[in-house]
Amino acid sequence: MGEAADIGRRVQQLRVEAGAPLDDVAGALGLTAEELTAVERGALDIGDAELTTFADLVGVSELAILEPDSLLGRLAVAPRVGDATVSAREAHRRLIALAEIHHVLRDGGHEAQPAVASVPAGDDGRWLDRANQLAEWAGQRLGDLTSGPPEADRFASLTTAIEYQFGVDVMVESLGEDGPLGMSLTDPEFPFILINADVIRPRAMFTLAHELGHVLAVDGSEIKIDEDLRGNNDEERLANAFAAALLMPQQGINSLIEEHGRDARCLAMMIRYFGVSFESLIYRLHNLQVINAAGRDALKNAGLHGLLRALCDTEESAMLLAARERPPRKPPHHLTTRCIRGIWDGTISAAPLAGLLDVETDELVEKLSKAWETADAITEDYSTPKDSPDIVRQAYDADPVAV
Amino acid sequence: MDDRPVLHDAVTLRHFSAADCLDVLEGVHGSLPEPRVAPAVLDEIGAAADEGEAHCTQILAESWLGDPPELTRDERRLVNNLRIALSDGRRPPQGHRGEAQSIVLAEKHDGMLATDDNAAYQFATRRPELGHSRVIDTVEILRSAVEQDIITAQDAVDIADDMAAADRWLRPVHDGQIRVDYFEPDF
Repeated sequence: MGEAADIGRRVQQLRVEAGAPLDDVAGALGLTAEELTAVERGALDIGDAELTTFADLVGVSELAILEPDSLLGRLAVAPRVGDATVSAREAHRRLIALAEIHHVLRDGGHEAQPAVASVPAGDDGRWLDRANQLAEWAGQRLGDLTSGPPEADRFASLTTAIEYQFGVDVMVESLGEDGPLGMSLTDPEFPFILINADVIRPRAMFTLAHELGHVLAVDGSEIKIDEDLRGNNDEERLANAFAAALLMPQQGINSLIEEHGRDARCLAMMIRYFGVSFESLIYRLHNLQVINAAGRDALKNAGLHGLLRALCDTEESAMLLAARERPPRKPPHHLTTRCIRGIWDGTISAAPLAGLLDVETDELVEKLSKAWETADAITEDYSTPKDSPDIVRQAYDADPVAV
Repeated sequence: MDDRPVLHDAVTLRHFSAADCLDVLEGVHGSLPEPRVAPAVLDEIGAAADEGEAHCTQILAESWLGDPPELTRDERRLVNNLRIALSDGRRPPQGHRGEAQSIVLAEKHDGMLATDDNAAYQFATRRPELGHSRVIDTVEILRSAVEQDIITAQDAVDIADDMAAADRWLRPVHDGQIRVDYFEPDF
């Protein structure tokens, strides 16, 4: 079987998976239906430009066609138009593009080093049991997320813990007000979480834990796009239950109640300690049978505004509201570091890093050039290996995560 | 100048054509071995010519550029990786085929790359197969032309000014430096 036949078969497979009619695809590629059929049979070579257009049309990387055994080849086509918002399709493209950068860096010797291989296997039990099992396991590795003062940024603590303990990159960037809350790539070679910076922090926090649930629970390579966090199926229910158990551990809730009593101030404290929303906390308290259904509904009806009124404490209220500010954008720590190394040895250009840091490529090129002048001088003087990432990072002040 | 092939990126070809001085480029590089241009660069210039950019039509008529070589399947895969390496990662790459093919061909033929794309220039200088000595831009080509007595240093300044007048921009590293002594061989 020749390469044209391999590529043709792959084109047909992806076109069918995307539910794209032959005539429509042929038209988009500037081919006749007969020509596209010939391409799919391997009787006609597809041109480079047509390959690019086709990949974009079905929402895959060109590597998914040229190297079907690669990570990009393992990922499914984009959600169909009509099944997802424009923002979700754009976010899907973003994640595919980031996986491509990973692929090129890996080929250049800059491997990702995730540490999720030791996730305990599931026992085909109920999703709730699995969620609790994973949350307990993850909680032990992530450490006490509620340590530090109540006003500490729990979201930042969790992103750092996930990146350092699991080697899973977390990126926070604007996906638009109507964009997905978050998304994740579950592949064990390159697990990745992308969180929308255009939502309030408690929501971003729950989404982050939800996406971590997907990364740990899904056995295989999938792109999960969460436009909302409704538990429409067992996978989503598992991710929600995992997030609730990880962020609001029963023992922590019990301790706070024992110490502060069952009043509005304790509720406010729990919200800030766990970094979650009022609504998430109420559901969690009900699921743990700390409150009954009537109590849950009464609190839901009162809402956050009701809690703020009940507090009669302007300082506590102000802190509660401050904790709802949107999270700052954040580049993924590991991928950023790998990009810096890859730029240094000519594996990639400055452009992918500029995209991660959300800066102009020319601006970054200029700063890198200046940094390299210094680095070259160091090497000439001492003939020692350069620690390029540190030099570049110092020059650009691009450290995405405080170490 | 080494006796190596020089692969010209579309940006550089368009710079010289917009200033109506492709003959200077031919004078400096026309006697060097082929290949001189990658297929995607000619495709890109052809597409711009189809959209009515006259200086691109002029490039297509330059027979000294020779026939672009075909790329093997492995080279096409490498080109695809380089396109990713040259893109900002906001979506899978739609462009950069010309720069990527030029780099692959320059490396394959032990040649040089001529580009005025700032990111591509810096990237190529970091490639172990190329390095600083085998990546050039318009200013360096003009310096070679002055050194070879094809033009004077004043001509080089005038050409750079003509490029700017045609909205063709040199790499930012040259900003504010376009004066006669900048093109003197001993600068």
